[in-house]
Parts: sequence; C-alpha cells; structure tokens
Amino acid sequence: MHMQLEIKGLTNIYKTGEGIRNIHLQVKKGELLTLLGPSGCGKTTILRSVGGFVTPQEGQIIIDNEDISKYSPEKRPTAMVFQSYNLWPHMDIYNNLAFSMKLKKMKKEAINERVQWALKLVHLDGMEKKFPSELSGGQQQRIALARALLLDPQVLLLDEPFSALDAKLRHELREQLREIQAIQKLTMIFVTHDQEEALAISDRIAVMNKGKIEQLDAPKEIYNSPKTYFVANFIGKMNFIELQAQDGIVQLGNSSFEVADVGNSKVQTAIRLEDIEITDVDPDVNGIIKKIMMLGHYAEVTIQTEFGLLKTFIEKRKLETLSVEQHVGVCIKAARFYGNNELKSNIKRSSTHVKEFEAAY
Amino acid sequence: MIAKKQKLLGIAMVLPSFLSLIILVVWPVFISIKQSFQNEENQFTWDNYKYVLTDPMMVNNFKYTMLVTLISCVLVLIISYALAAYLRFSNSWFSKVISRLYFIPMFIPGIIAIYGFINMYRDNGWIARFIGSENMPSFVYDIKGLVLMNLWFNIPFTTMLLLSALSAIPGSVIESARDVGAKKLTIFFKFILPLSYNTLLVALTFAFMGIVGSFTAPYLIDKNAPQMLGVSMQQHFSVYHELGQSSSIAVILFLMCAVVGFIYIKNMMKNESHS
Repeated sequence: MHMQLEIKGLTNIYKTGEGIRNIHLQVKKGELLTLLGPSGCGKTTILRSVGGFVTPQEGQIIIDNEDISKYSPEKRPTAMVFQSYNLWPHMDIYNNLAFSMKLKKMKKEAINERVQWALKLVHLDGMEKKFPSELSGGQQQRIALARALLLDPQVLLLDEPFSALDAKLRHELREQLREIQAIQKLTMIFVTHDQEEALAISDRIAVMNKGKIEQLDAPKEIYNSPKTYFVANFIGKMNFIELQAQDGIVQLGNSSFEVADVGNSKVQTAIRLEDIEITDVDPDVNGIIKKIMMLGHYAEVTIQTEFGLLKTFIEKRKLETLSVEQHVGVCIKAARFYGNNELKSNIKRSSTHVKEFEAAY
Repeated sequence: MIAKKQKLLGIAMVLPSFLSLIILVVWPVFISIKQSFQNEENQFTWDNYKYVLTDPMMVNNFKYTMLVTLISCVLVLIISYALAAYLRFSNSWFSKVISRLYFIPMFIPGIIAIYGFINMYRDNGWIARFIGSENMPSFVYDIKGLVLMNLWFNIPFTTMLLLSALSAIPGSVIESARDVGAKKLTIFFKFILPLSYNTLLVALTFAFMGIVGSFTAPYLIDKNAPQMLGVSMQQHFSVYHELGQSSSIAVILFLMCAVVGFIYIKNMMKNESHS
C-alpha cells in the first residue's frame, strides 16, 4: 500500500518536559487518521510539525516519498484547519477563499470557478460577499475547510476544528467532513480530545498519552480491545475494579480468571458497561441498584456491589422491572486485566475448576 | 412612578459632569470664538483671521507647526510600529526586557524630561563634553531637538496602543496565511497591517493632537522663530496682549484637530459596518 505520509522518529521536547518522543506514523492515501488524547499529550505538536509550524528536534516527515522537514509551511503540500479564528476578518468570504490562488497568480475566471466549486462543496453557495463576522461559528469552520481544500493539499491537517461548536453542529460537520473526504479522497490527520468524535469519523485512531502513542488501531479495535489501561480508561465508559491476584488467579465474584504474568500483584480489572448484565440466573455478584439515569433509548444503571459501584447500560424496555434500592444479581460477561498499564491475556475458569486448581497445589 | 424616579436619578448622575462640561469647556470655547471675531472695541471684525492667515510670520508659524507635527507623527508611528511588532513577534529575552521598560518615559514628568534632555543634548551638555562641542550637532534651539522630544513623549503610549492591536491578531491568522503560501512581506502588508490599521489611525490621531497643540517642549527647546502655534498663541496672549488674535489662532488650531478627528471618525464608522 502506498503511504501518503510517513513520520519517522519525530521528537520534540519542550522545556517543561512535555512534548513528543520518537513518534512513528504512517498514513495511507485517502485515510483519516485521528490523533486522540488529553491536552498536553503531544497530538497538536505532531500535527503542527507536519504543517511546519513547529520545528521538531529530530525526525523526518515524508509526504509522497519526499522529505518535507526542511520546508517552511508555505512550501509544504499540507493545509491546516485551525481550532478557531480561522478566517481572515478583514477579507470577505470570496477573498478568504481566493487568496491562495491570487498568490499563485491564477486567472480570475479560474479563481471564480474554484471558489464557486468550494462553496458548493461545503453547502455555502452565495456567501461570497459576506464577512467572517456575519457567519455563524459552524459556517466559518466550513469556509475554513473550503479554504484548506482549495490548496489541493496532499495531507489535510485538522486541529480540533469542531471543538468550539455546540454538540448538534459538531455532529453535522463531522458527517459533512466524512462526505467531503469520500468525494475528494483526502488524506487527513485529525486532532481531537473527544473520544466519541474520534470513534465516529476515523479510519484509524492513534491514542496518545504523555508524548507517546499508546495504541494505533481501527476504532473498533480500540474500543473492543484497548491495549493499555490508559486507553481503556480514555475510550468509552468502563468500570474499573482493583483486585489482588493470587498465583496468577484473579477472583471476581463467583468467576475466576487465570491472568498471564501477574503473579501476586494488583491488577486493574476493566469491564465495559455493556458487558455487565442484570440477571437472576447464576450471578457473579449481588448488589443493590443505587441510581437509574435515562440517556434516551437506554439507561445507565449504577449498582452497589462488594467491588464498589458498577455501572451498566439497560435497554429502555427492560427498565420497567427495575427500581432504585432493588436487590439484583450481576453477571460479568467479559473483563480485561491490566497490570502496570499493560493488557494481560486471561482465561476465564469456572468456580469448580478453580477449586480443582487449588486442590492440585 | 419607579420608572420616572429612575429617569430623574439618571439625569442627576449625569448632571455634575454635564455642568462642568458647560462651565469649563463649552462656555470658554464660546467666549474664545466670540473674541476671535472682535477688535479691541468689542466690535465684529475679520481682522484677527486676516492677520493670522496672511501675516508672513504667522504663515511661517503654521507651516512650521505642520512640518514639526508631520515629521514627529511619521517618525513616532514608524518607530512605535517597529517596536510593537518586535515585542509581539519576538520571544527573545531582550524583547521581554524591552517590553518591561518601554513605557517608563510615561512616568517621568514632562518638564523634568525636557530639562534632562537639554542638559544632555545642548551644545555644551553632557554629550558635547564627551565628543567635543565642535563635533556636536545642535539639538537644542533646533527642530531636531523638538522632534526628538516629541518622540520621547509619544513613543511609549503609541507603542502600547499598537502592541495591544498586534497582540489581538490571533496567531492562527498569521499561521493560516503562511499555510496558504504567503511570504513574510505578504503577511505584513495583507494581514498584519490591515488588521492593525484602525489602531494605527487612532495612534496617529492621538499623536497629532498632542503634538500640534504642544507648548512646554517647543517653549523650552525650540528657537524663537518660526514658532509652534502653541507658543505663538501664548505670546500673542500674554506678551502682546492680543486677545482676539490669540483666540483666532486657537480656533484655527481647533479646526485642524477637528479635521483629523473627522477623518478618524469617518474611518471608524466605515470599518464598523463590516466587523
């Protein structure tokens, strides 16, 4: 597969000690790669290094087999959409869009045509004469996107472009971006701290923490098998229970798990909300319902158990049989174990099996 | 009832400043304008204006005032803009030091600064002692000295204004301009300058008003002829006791400022319509 963008050994550490260390990334042509992480994790530093606004201490950035590390931003085949204040307030929309083409001394008719094309692409035809201050936040970001697209970038860089917008608009723009990407076959790097946004739009996600990539995978993989405790904690909702392993065995209510190389250390047990079920048949642990929170077509139910509070999702129609302070049984259908931030493989054993196991030693 | 009470309270709160405006500003201005059209017998006359606008000495004073004001304004704006741009876009320790020091002249009383300046730059002053008075260009009793003094008085405030305007330009505006391929000069002329143009105009207005009507500096530093209008006005008033003539100089000075003020306001309104 042809790589549109390759980042090799990118390192840039700030005086504060924050920054990025030895980052390697490859982005395929037409792929949308998201850099996801909390603030200060280095995701924006990577993006700005690719755009040329940060000069990294070490590393190479290769676009279409050419090392562009030495070029200044104006010479790079990249275009960037910033978080906010994107548009030039003293120019009308037409000039905002046409500026780059005027710099290239393109013919007026050609510029007109391209501007019209771009406006149509972001569904804002007829806005040429307006000034940025007359547009809503969402419209401004769409114009900013159009302006970046008019550069015909080989890689489009988006630095939390929707974070200043309200939730509904964010969803709309997200869909529109995906649409445009499909039409234009764009290669994109998208930076966000919003895990939901990342899961929704990405082909692949690089989850970052403290200047390192913790996991680089498709959204489904990231959600289903987070490779580190950090990723498990950051992506989606999780129940966490700290348990003491004994000779590699972790006991979770009536279930027990054989967890690879943990010995007698403490492990973090992570359980997705949808992997917890309220049941009367053979429960792993018993508890009392403490809270029921409606979230639309489903509800989040909080249950007090011997492991602390466990949360689970319940479909709306199953809710009728449940009420607060009710005693219920809880069945844990899947769990992951993390020791020292790393995922440990495990095998679930039945209770009887565990007893036999103990008897043998 | 309550609405009426609030209305009265509002008027009562405005009244002190309104009255002081009437008594201290509007009334004296009115008297001056009246005086400028009166001769010694308090009869209506155009003579004062005829004298002020045609007398060769006065015409020279006008030209000289405009010359000093224009040179000073242009230099103040260029130097302050360069300084503000440096402070905004440089992250070096030197720029940090300068950013703490540049407004110090604002805290030095004008008269002290002028005496300090005279001691430093006069033909037998401190600098002359070091380099020899025969090598010393004359600053005091010369337009050069006056312009330098105007720079001292105006650069700090102008820089402060321009720096706040330049700081208000978000980094992403400049970065996105670079991103689409603009080089440094293009960025300056197409982005930074237009986005700080309004403040530049404000700064120009302030500098112009301050310099055109200045008195202390030209009175103490400049030569006797031609004079700045402020000095000339004081002389007509307290040396020649020509109340009518000094009033007409004041009116003309006011009109000059009004023209600049009008240009400023017109520009502000034009810009308000798209931002």
